[in-house]
Parts: sequence; structure tokens; C-alpha cells
Amino acid sequence: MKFVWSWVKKDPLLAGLILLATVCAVWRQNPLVREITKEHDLVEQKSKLVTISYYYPNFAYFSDIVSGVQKPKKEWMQGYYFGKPYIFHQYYEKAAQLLPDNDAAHFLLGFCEYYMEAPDIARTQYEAALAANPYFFWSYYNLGVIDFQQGDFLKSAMVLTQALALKKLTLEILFQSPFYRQIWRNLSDPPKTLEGNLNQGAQDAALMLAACYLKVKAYDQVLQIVQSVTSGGGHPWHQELWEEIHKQALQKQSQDDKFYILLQERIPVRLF
Amino acid sequence: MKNTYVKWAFIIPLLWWVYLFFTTQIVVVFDAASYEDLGKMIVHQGWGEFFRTGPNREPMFPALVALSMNLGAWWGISYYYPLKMIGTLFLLLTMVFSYRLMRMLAIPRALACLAVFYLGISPVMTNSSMRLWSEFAVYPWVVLVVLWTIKSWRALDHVSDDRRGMFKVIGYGVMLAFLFLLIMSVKAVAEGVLLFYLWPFYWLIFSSWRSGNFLKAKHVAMFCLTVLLVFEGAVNIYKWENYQANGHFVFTARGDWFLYGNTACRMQPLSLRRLGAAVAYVPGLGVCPSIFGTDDCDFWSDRHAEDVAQQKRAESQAKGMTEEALSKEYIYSSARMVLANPLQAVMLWTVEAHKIFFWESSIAFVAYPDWLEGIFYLPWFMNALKIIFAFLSWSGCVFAFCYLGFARLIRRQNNPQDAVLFWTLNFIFWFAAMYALFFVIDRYAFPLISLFLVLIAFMVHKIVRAWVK
Repeated sequence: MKFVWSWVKKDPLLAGLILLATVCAVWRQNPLVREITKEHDLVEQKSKLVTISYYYPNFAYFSDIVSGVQKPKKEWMQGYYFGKPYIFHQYYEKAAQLLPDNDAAHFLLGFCEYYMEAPDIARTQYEAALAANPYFFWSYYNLGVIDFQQGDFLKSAMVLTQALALKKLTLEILFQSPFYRQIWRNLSDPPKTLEGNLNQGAQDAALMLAACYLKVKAYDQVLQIVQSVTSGGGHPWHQELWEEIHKQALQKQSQDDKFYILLQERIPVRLF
Repeated sequence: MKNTYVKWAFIIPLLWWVYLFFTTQIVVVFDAASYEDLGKMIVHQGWGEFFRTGPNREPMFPALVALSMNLGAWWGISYYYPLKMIGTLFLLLTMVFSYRLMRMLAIPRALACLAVFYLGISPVMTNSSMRLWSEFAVYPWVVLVVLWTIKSWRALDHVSDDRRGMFKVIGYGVMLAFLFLLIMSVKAVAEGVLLFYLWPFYWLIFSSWRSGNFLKAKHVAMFCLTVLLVFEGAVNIYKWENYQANGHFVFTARGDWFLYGNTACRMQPLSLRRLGAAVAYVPGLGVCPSIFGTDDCDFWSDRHAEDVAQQKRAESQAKGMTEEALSKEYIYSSARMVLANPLQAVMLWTVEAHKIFFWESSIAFVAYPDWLEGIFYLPWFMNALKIIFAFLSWSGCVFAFCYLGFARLIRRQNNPQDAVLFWTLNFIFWFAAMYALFFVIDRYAFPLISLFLVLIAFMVHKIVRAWVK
């Protein structure tokens, strides 16, 4: 004891630091402190969900969009009072802000931003969604649509190619994410509707991809896509557009602008 | 032994706050989100922007949020923690001032400690002190106003007739005005409260003058003038700043339209069923919808009042009315409606004012650990707590009123506690009355909780003493 005391008197700074480190170590190992720290972390997570829950919109409208009953409208993406039915933008904005790693929050915010006439913000949200989860078809699809509409055909082709490889995983993601569940649980037959939409999305993606290749004069790729679509056995959507593309690719000619405008009108950004 | 009570009445709540400080999280929604935005605005763009984008909310709470943000950035932590520290510090001050007020009422130490202890651990007080809503910033000043008024009231009896005495009177007045300004900078309703709260001083001027005590009349008049001039001076400077920056000569944005909306709802023809719904709406807890159905109850909701005011705004804007003219129209229309049927107005104000008693259990906007949430969201427990404390608060006020009446009419003698009791009641009355003109939301009652607990403790003390005798 005497030795310790004489040492402390000799080097009080070092002794103080050692004492502080010991107290900190004991403090952190203290079961009560550990319990409080654990509770703090849990409550922090919970507070984010509670905050988001205050912005709950009426999801029936988004469900109607998925089932094709409604079309997305700008004025329905935002509301000003809690309790009014449509405040999707605020809801997903808050969700994306508090849960930055949640791909669904970014994806759905991107959808709102697009229909609120902010395609560039929508693009950043889709990119954030893909950074958090690169296996979701619809993020690529919508990003591809935006690029297509903005005339960036090479980029669109790249993104849509990735989209077409991800059909199977997408359904799994849709069924697992709570944010998507809030929307599809109102549907009468969710698996059927979601799978049907996915197939239609894939057809549209293929059509856009072919159109992109046609624009950049990659005629062989166009013919390859046309062949794979028609050899699938099913009757492709937008039959007359496919025929146009096929004809032009055979003649090694690009389409005029009217065709692309028509395509842009027919293929919208989709929810899922 | 005596000191042990006091020690534990403060130490246990302190330990409780430490636990809550580390485990709870603020939920930023609705008003809290706007306070957060204002705080950010002050930090990043300064007060100039606060005024330019105004009229905004009352300034003190955004200033506290901005201070917390600066402290949080300095310490490298979320600004919620400094804000919670400020909240608990304010709560601690409220406990200290309330304890002092109770001791002035000669409430035994043990009972005063129990009341202070409850103030420190009450779900609603701890909840409101640890969230991003402005109420907690007014708690200590309310009790301090009552304490300082009592001090001034007593001091004005013994002021010498010289320059020193005059300075003393002015000093008391300046301090009271300053305390009211602190309340005003959180709750703008204080502007109306002050004018009526001082009525005993006005009466004192008159009675002193009538009884020939001109010196006292002069001192009290000087005191009132100082309070009103300093207070109104500062408030009008603030309003002028708003006018210069954003063209609105107001302290805060809300008020006129909300007054109109509520008055227009209340002055509708009143059936027995509608009156019943108004009374049943007072306690909240879903009492009204369970008896009268949602349609009758929604009529008395703040949202309905907002809709009525919005409708008036839309009509006036269609006629090309400016914002300033609309603001005046809101106030004049409200006054016209009230004067057309003052009895109904007073009756419904009285009903509305009773909402102020239902303060306990109004907890929200804080995320708690699961076990605590399990207790705080137990409906039967929290509803029971709400009803018990509403009853006690109401009884405390009525008891204090009767006690004072008894003192005046039957005892015909003044106790030193009478002034304390009187000023406490006077503050509660005018605060509730001012809010009743608009709409009483449960959180508006929070600043009065400490005063309610003081009156409850006083009532319990007197009843127990009478019982023991």
C-alpha cells in the first residue's frame, strides 16, 4: 500500500490516467450500465419506427395503383395534415431519412418524387435503393425508364439488362419487406397481381432495351432480344411496337423520334 | 430526519431522470419537427432569417433547440441530449420553486416533499421535459411569477417614501415583467394573462386611494405601470421586429384565426345534445364518442375549428381581402358573435376551461424502453391516474377558493398563507381563462401542474389536520 501511495505521489498524472481507465473499464462492464446501453440502442431503433408511424398514409391508394385501378397523380403524393388520406411523400421521406439503409423506403420515395415531377431526385433515390439492395428488379426498371425518358439510351440499356436478370429475387423481396407489405396486403390476390405486374414489367423492360439498342444501332442485340421474346411462346405486349422494332432492325435502320415518344407514353415508372 | 425527506424527494427523481435520459428517445413529429427546423434555421442562418420567414413560433424554445444543437455539435453528440439536460434542469428548478411555495403555505415538510417527489417522477412531467415540445421551457417561470408576485404584494406595504423606495418598487415591477416575458417567449397567451392577473393591484390602487393612503396608491400604481410598460415595451419591440422583417405586427403566427374558428363553433345554436357532447368532450379518453358518437364530438374538436377558420379564410380571400384585414375581421367577427349571446359564450368557456384539469397521462412523442411503455400505455392505469389527478386538481382549486372565501367572510382575518393561495389561484384562473377563449389541449395545462400539486398538497394538509383535531 505504501509503495502504491509513494508511486502515486511520484507520478500523479499516470496514476490518474490508470485510475480513469480502470473506472471506465469497470463502468462499461457494470451489468446495470450494459443493460441501460442495450435498452438505449433498442429504444433508438424503436423511436425511428414510432416517428415514421406518425406519418402513416392510407395505403389503399397505392394498392389501387398496383392493381391498376388508379393511376399515380401528383396531387395525391402529398398532403398537409395528419389524418388526411394521402401523405405518401412525407411518409417515405421520413422513412428514408431515418432508415437510410432501407432500400424499400428509398424506392418508394423515388416513386413519389417521380410523380411529383422531380425525376432527378427520383433517380438519386433509386440509386440509393440499389446501393442498399442491388437485387430488386423494379429499382433497375424505374431507373431505366427515367434514363430512357431523358434520352440516355446507353445507360438505360445497361440498367435494363441488369433488371431482366432479377425477376425471381424480386418477388421474395416484395413479400419480405414491411414497407412493400403495407401496400400489397390490401390486394385481393397479392402473389398473382405481383407476379403479373412483374411479367409485364419484364416485357416492357425488354421492349425498352430493344429500343435502346436500336437507337445506338446495335441491330444484332435487337434481333436477339426480339427472338428471345417471341420464342418464349407467350404473346408479347405492345405487339405492333415489337413488329416495328423487328422490321427496323432487319433493315438496319433506326426509329424516328415519334416512335420513342410513343414508347415513353406507353411505358411509365411503376410501383411494382 | 426532516432533511432526509427533502434529500430523497430530489435524489430519487434525479436518478430516475438519469435512467430516462439514457434510455428514452425523442420522437420528432408535428410541432417538434417545426421546432427542429427553426432551431436549424437559427444555427445556420441566424435570427435574421427567423424573423424574415416569420411570424414564427414564440422564440425561447427555438432558441433552446438552437443552443442544444450548438452544444451537441461541440460535444459530438445528438442535440437531443443537451435538450433533455435543459428540460430536466427546468424541471429541477420547478421542483425547487414549488417546494418553496408549499413551505410558504405552511404545508408540512413531509407532504411538500411528497408533492415535489411526484412532480419529479410524474409520467407527464418527465415525458414533457424530455421531448421536443415547448411546454417545459415555461414550468419554472410560472411558479417563480407566483412567488415574485407574493413578494411584491407584501413588499408594497412597507415601501418608504423616498427615492430608494421608488427604485425598490420599480425593481419589483421590472422583475415581474421580466418573468412574464420569459413565459411570453414560450406561450404568447401570457400577454392576455398579465393584464388580468394584475387586477388585485388595480383594486389596491383604488382602495388605497379611497381610504386616503395616497402613498401606497402611488407605489402600487408605479409598480403596475412599470410591469406593463416594461412588458408591453419588450413585446412590442419584438412585434415591430416581426413587422420590419415580414410585415406582420404580431408576436406569433397563430391566434386570430384559431379564436375565430373556436368562437364560431361555440356560438352555433346549442341543443341539449350538443351541450352534452361539449361536456363529455372535456375529459378526453374517448368518453364523448362512446356516448354521443363521433359526429357530435367532432363538432367540438380543434380540427373542426380549424376547418371553420379555413373556410372563412377562403371566402375572404375570394373577396380579395388582405391578410391584415382578415386578421382584424377574425377578431371583430369573434367579438360580434360573443356579444350576440354572451351567456352561451361564458358557459362554453367555462366548460372548455375545465379541460385544464385533465393533465396527467398525456404522454407522447417519446420512445420508452418496453417495460416502461407497458406501464405508460396500460389504459386502465393511465386513465385512472388521469381521472384521480383531474379530480384532485379541481378539488384543490375549489378548496382553495372556499378557504379564501371563508377567510375573508367568516374568519375576517388575514393569514400569511392567504396571499400565497390567492395568487396561485389567480394565476391558474387567468391562464385557464385565456386558453378557454381558444381551445384547451391537454398539454396547455402542463405549465400549471406544479401549481395544481401545491393546491392539492394544501388541501390534503388542511383536511388531515382537521381530521386529526
